[in-house]
Amino acid sequence: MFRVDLAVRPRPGVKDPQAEAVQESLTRLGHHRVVVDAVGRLLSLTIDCESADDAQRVASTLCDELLVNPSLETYTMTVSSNG
Amino acid sequence: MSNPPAAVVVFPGSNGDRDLLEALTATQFDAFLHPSGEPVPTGVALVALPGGFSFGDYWRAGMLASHEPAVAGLGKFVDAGGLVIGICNGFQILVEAGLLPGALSYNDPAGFRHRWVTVRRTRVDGPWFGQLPPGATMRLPIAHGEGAYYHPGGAEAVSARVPLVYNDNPNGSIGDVAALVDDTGRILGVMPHPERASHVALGSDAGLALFTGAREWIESTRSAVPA
Repeated sequence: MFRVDLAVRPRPGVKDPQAEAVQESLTRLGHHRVVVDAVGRLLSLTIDCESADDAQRVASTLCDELLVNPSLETYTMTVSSNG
Repeated sequence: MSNPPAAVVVFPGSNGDRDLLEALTATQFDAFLHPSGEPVPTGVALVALPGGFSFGDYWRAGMLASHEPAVAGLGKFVDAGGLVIGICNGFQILVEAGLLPGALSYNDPAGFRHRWVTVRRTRVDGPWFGQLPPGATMRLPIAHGEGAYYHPGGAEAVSARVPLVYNDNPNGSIGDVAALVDDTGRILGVMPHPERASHVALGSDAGLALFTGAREWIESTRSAVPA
């Protein structure tokens, strides 16, 4: 079993209105040294497979088929053994 | 001549299905509600995907609904001459299903917008626009948080597919895109709600023009309607 944490965020260059809105609120609270780079989504998966490479391959397929819209989004993942 | 049958697909979380049913009925369709978990029955002339929050808009608006059985067969349905309209969340579903190009993302500036807008017909044609000549305008309501149309190729990449543009862009869509058609023109995705502009008592009945145009087109090309 492997755990994959998938982080999906707006592709560089694509407008990120959610980040701008969160930035505005944080700035209003006085956090002037904080810059919100992106707002995205996190998906945690447990995958029944033999190796971390397999887990990464499966997760990449899920991203290509459904989870990531390549016009708007990009993603990173971390893979760890889940016992 | 009997009225053409029209299926309004109901997803878990749809909220515009009843309005759409009424607008189609008012424009002489034999409209009925159809569950998204079943393929659209044969003999239908038009399939309509309503607004709402299908599957709670979880993960990405329209993504989960785009894999429902009622959506999976729409490509073949259109190849056989059928018409498909997706309104608001229905437009998002069509884009997520790959039936229309590009993507719909968060409004810019961020926030849910609900108000009346004016859209203008371009020279891009399709079966929907027999009642709406180029340059004509419609007053329609919007109600969406993810209506900003985006295409990685920019507005020029889709300009030949944009039949309606906003007069005063409410959501940051590139090229003021308010609606989009596919290569055939038979698939229409529209972000404002024509079905909610279906009676003067509601503020406008301009939206009925799209449905009337579709019905007249179907009647003029009856042989193209899938059996």
